[in-house]
Amino acid sequence: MKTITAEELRSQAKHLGADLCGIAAVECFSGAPAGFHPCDVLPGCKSVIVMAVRFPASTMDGSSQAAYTFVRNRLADRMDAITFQIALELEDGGNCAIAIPSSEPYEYWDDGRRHGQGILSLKHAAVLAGLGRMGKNTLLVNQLYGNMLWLGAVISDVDLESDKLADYEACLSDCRLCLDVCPTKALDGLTIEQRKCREICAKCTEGGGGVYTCNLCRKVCPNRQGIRLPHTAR
Amino acid sequence: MKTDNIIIRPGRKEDRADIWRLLHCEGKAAKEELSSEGCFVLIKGEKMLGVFIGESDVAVHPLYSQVLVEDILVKSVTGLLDTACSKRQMRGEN
Repeated sequence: MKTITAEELRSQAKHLGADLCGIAAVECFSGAPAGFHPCDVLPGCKSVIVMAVRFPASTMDGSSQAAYTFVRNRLADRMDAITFQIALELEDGGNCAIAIPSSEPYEYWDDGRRHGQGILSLKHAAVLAGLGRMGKNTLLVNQLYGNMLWLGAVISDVDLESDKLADYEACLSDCRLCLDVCPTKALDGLTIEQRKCREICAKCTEGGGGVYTCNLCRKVCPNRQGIRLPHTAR
Repeated sequence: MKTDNIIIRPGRKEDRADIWRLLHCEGKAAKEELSSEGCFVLIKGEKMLGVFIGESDVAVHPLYSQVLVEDILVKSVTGLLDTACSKRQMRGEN
């Protein structure tokens, strides 16, 4: 049995195709509301390893929603394969490890509010693992890749040191582009009202299959492809 | 920003999700389990505009003026704590 180090994990995540990998010790989740704490999923959890894969940069330049949907679905599959493999390797080292689904299935679903929630908030975990900051569109924004990222995570009882929190700003101080462009006004700068978002964000085509039909809040962000503009205090 | 209907009060258990979001929006992690002692929230209607935690940690809703909300929170909380401290001193408590 061999104890895996943070550097080995990072190296392995990169080898498997992750563009970013950060670690949040479970202590960082102090104060988390019920359902957001990794120990709710794995009692004895000590670390959350968060990874991200990037969208191909041109994805948003095209007008085809089918092409965007294809990329989004492939990224979810790719991320799930990476977290699955990392979990196996942590187990080979004698640790408990659970891969968190990067998209479906939702365990929690409130039909009235049409609100789904994963077993761990990957965006909040990514903030705590130093991968970026939350934008007003509620997407994670990374300095290098902007919001063009798909997230995944593994929770484990392996004891690892936390990465530092990101020290840059996700949004321009007075920017409201994402809030104003949203056709259903689902954003309030801090949260997204899923019921409103779901009214337009996806549809089933007549030929079968689903496509994601709205990604305007991602698209209009000036920091979509990385943080390029300086921040001023609001 | 109109200050009508804005209240400041100690944080409650049901505030945890909003506090968690505010902190993360500013790239901060809660340093310890949140408790009503040392945690104050600024509320307008149903919206949490800001939170004051510990000795000086403040997080502000991204759509509101950081300078203004932080100023209100710090002055109010410091005033509340000073008042409480003075009352304790007048009662001869430590």
